[in-house]
Amino acid sequence: MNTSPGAVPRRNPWRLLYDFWTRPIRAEPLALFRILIGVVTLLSLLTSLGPRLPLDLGPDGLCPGRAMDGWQKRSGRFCLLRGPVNLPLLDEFLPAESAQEWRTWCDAPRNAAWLFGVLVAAVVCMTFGLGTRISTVVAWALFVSFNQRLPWVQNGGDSMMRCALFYLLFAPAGAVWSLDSVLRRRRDAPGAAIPVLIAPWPVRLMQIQLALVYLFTGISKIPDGLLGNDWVSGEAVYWVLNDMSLNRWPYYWLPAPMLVCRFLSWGTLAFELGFAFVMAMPPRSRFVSVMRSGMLLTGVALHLGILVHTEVGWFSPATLCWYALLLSGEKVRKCIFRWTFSRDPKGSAWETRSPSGRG
Amino acid sequence: MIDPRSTFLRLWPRIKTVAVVLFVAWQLFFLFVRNPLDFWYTPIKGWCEEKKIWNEVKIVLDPVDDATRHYGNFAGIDQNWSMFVPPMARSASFLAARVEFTDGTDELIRSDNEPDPLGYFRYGGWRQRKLEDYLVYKTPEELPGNDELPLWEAYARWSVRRWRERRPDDPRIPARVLLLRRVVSFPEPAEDPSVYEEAAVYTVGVFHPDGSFVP
Repeated sequence: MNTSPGAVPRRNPWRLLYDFWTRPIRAEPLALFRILIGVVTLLSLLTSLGPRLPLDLGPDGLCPGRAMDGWQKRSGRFCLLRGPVNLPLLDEFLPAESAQEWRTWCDAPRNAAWLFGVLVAAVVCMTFGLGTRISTVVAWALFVSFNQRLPWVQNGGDSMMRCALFYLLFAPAGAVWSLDSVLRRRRDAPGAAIPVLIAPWPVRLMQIQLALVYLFTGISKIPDGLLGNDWVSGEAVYWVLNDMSLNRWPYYWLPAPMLVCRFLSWGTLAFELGFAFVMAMPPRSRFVSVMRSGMLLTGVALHLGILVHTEVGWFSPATLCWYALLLSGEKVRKCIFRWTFSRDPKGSAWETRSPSGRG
Repeated sequence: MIDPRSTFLRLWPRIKTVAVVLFVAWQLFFLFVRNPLDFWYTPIKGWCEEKKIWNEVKIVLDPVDDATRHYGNFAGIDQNWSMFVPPMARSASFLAARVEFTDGTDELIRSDNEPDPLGYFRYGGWRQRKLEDYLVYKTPEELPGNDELPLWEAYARWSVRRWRERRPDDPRIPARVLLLRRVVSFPEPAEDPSVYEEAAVYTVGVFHPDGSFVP
């Protein structure tokens, strides 16, 4: 029997699994995720994609629409800026002239800019939690469309944002810390201060998605096994630090000794391959809790390192947003509202009960 | 008499539960099938062919592969996660354009992303780098018949426009545009990190000033 301090009693694994998918959880981590990913998406749109739209789109843009038509059709992607291609029903039943009109309308740079404005407005509404569900649907549809229209200028950060918006479609992301929740509280129960619990499955899917992102990124680094590979030999980080197409400054300004490069290469590999397994361990003991916290802090350090040293856009901030989903509701609330929380005489009541008493 | 509306309202929670269970099951199936297939489809196929069971396996595997890939692509959640896949790059390739003029002279327009190896600070420009990275690795033999050829043609036209914006009073007339790949090798670990060799240059494609491809 585990007797370490803070240990959770051992339970039937099936029960644990059932609870993992069904036991309501605090809404704060999901709300924090919604806000963070909204802010990062907005910054990405306004600082990197928006300013180059006039350069990329339009009849003489750098990314002509006809260059992506074949790829789009073959791969089953949809892009609202290229008409109804691959959209269920519309693709088959919309008359060819109407589809052409749709496409011609979107080809005009001014109209594309207008749609971009709608996308920005939807992301703002999602971030503030105003009409959260509908604004997320609009944000997802337009964000995916702009990504598919300009696939040549996207990177992993955009993929993380697309995934985030997709999962948020199904999640009760506006349950707390949103204008929707403020309006709802005013209408339904003014003055009530009860903890908000939500169904856990959208958050669980997102946690699994993040774990698989790391796991397969790690696996991709050892394609032919553990031998004769830059990551295993420890030279990988040396070559990354030398890559002048990505780095913010030349390697020789701050040359890292090979020992440090080796440590960072092996550390990165161990982190990526181990993240999913550590996060999958039920936090029964203090040791596991410490390991999980250590893993998250290592991830933060890794992404901050990438952010500082390489110019890969919003990849690191977008990935770090997902970490909010791995924090406990109490921790998130305490961190964000430490001052407010300490004054709440009923603070302990937030820990245990849902409005329906199912907590 | 049974009110259909009240029956529906009574059944609604169950319908919702079933829908959620089906969606979660599908999403998990997608995640745990798509990710391995992105990495191991070819090795799996090779192994099955070696064991002479590919014809039986592909009846199951190919529909699963198609369904998960199309679902991921449509929803914008395509997986295929990878970053800094080995072997690591020992050099950096930069796209450049050489504009040749009717009077026999020429001018090289380097990418804004190609730095002086000995002194630079990079901030922004990563989307342009992604585009140029995509364009730079092709050869003139690979461009004809490529349905993305308009991309290279657009870049050639843009290069001429850029030259004209920089030199509005230049009387020379562009005759053709060569898109070039400039390759800068990195020093080996034991070498002086501040010494770089001259960039090696390869042709990506040749274009008329209006952007059309010259076969």
